[in-house]
Amino acid sequence: MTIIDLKPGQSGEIFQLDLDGKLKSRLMEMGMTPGTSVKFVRTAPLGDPINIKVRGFNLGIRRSVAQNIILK
Amino acid sequence: MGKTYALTGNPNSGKTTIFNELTGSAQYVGNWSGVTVEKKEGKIKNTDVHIVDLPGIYSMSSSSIDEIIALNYIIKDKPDGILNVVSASNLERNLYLTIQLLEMKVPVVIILNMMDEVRRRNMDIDFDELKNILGTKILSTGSNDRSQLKEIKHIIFEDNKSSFERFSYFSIDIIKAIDKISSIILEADQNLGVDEKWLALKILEDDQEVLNEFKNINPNILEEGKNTRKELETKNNEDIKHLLAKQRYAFLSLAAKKVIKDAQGNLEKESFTEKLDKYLTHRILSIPIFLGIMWLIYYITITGLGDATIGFMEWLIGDVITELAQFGLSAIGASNMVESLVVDGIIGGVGAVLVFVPQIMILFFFISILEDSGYMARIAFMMDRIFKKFGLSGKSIIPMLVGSGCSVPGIMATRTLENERDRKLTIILTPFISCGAKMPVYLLFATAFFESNSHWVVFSLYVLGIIVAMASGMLLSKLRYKGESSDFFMELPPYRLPVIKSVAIHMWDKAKDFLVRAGTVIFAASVILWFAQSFDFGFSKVTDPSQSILAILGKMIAPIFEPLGFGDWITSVAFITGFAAKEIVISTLSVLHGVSEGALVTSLRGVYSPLSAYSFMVFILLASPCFAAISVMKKELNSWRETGFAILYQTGTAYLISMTIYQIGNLIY
Ligand SMILES: Nc1nc2c(ncn2[C@@H]2O[C@H](COP(=O)(O)OP(=O)(O)O)[C@@H](O)[C@H]2O)c(=O)[nH]1
Ligand SMILES: [Mg+2]
Repeated sequence: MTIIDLKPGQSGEIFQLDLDGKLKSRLMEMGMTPGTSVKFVRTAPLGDPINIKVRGFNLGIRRSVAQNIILK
Repeated sequence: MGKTYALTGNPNSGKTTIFNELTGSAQYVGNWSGVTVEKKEGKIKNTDVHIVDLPGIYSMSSSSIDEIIALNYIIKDKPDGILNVVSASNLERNLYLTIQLLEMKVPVVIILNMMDEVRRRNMDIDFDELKNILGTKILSTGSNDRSQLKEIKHIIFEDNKSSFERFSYFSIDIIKAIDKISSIILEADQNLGVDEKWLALKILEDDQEVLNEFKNINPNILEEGKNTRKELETKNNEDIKHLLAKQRYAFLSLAAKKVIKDAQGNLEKESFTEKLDKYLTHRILSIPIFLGIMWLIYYITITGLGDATIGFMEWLIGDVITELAQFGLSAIGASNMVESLVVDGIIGGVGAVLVFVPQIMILFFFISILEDSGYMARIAFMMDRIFKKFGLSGKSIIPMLVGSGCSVPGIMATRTLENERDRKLTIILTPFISCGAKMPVYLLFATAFFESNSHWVVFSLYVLGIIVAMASGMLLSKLRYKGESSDFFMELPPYRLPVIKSVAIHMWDKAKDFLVRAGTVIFAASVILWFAQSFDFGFSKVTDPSQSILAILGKMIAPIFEPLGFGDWITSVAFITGFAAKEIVISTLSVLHGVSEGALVTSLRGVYSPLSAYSFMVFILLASPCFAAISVMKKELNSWRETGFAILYQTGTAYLISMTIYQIGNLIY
């Protein structure tokens, strides 16, 4: 299961980030580390990107990235 | 010698607000050497304390220009202290940067900002506990109470010796690795000027940017670092950087739990921002709302307030100042020649530009509000899908929106784009978005030729600029800047009320730019133009300006513009002088037609048809930007080749489109 499998309003717990080094580092430095809870807030009006919430703040990420963030 | 403190913090933590609060009007903006990232400095009033505002960053890992600037400043310039602005409403992530600063063993004081926001949500922060965990002094502030900032004047940086134990949150194997490498650094006894444990950590992380600063480091140490890193990574089956981030956040989660007092569980409840986002990023409503906001900004700037301020300024310059000058000059018995220089040359040239300064300030007012309120990030979020189609990412819209005020800060704003390809492309496209200085040209021509439809004509130019930028994005990403646009990800900060003081400082800064230009470049250009059109090559006064030096030079280039519909020498000269600053175009027309702002309209009607006037406006809109923008482009692209290409591409596109419009228009009418 990944972030895009969540419904708007639902939360999940990050298991791992299947992303390449630099992007992965960036996201982890912003707090998206394994074990952290993420909430799928909503989709952008045109369907991509999506708005998620981690550690109390909102982040916009593309679906292509979100589908590589595996949840527990 | 006074002390120098550096302000650091996450983006949107309130750094600019605190900086303005501390320094007031005693600030100036420059550039960091080598890059055009804005460097703001200032002094705390009535003191010798100097404040440097570092770019907003999330981490000290040197993976973006902003991070490298901040890191370099701290390790090389060694400020006397670091004022770390921390947003209390987003403690965990903000403290990630804080503990990295503490790991560097530099003197840090925390400015815990946004306390009003925390308290409004019926939560609080346990300052004693936070101080206990971090061992730093904490000044708490919020938009309702800035009193603790006064202490910065005579602050004493404690030696962070208290309870905070660096690296204690890392696993044993990492701590051991740091100890091992740092002891070799100590043995080698090189005077490197930074804390050896921090350097050991950077060697372990293989942070190339930092290591570049310490080229004379003993290669054995680097070798040892590499081996240790390999060992650690194999053992943990994870990149060292990711391990560090994980372990730091584990520590911060616990710290946040201890420090944030949230008896009613308000952190989890829906915040004001989330309620507002339901509408502003709503599936269906958000797009009409966005277009409505843009239309409103455009309408107020161009039509609503704009018309009123122009009327007032025209009266002030055309009637009051001109008459006063004429009266004064004849009272002291000045010759006709001097009167012509002052009235036609200087007041005509400089005045033609000054008329539009209030309107340009209104435009900057709105741009500043869009940025500070947090809405700009939502625009990027909403537009990403579209921009992706044109080979860019949603973040590219921010430089373009800023560029609608002035291309210079617009091009500078491209630094937030991580991907080099996106950055280059956005730098080349941003000047297509019409800037504030071009606005006067449209307004003048539109009123002269399109009367009741003038607002639609101006609007069509803005739209054309956007279309050309998008189409060029698509074209250039196929032909020249191949590859994928970056993976868009960006923080959507909470909506906040912009602080009037910050908005006012921003507006004044920009107005100052225009006024300084009016008083220098435009003044000089007006005088030179007046002379060049009053005399011939034998330096005798001409009665007919078409015999003047300027006319002869102008006539040499004029044929180039013939196919575009404006092959007269005055227009050619205006285009060339426009390189100095776009608003000079109208100063030039005004001086060369020898009339003031008001009468210029009548004069222009004698020279252009509505079609050639439109073609001229399109050419001004799309052709190469002014020298200031070109030089920033050069700095940011870091290549003459790319810059040359950009100028040729922009001017070539302008030429083709203007010519097409004029030629097709001619066939129809
Ligand atoms: N509620 C509240 N808003 C603030 C405070 N400080 C700054 N802001 C607002 O937060 C937004 C971002 O502030 P800014 O200084 O531009 O942040 P920067 O990105 O760190 O420079 C602006 O709209 C400010 O008006 C504060 O203490 N409380
Ligand atoms: Mg700022």
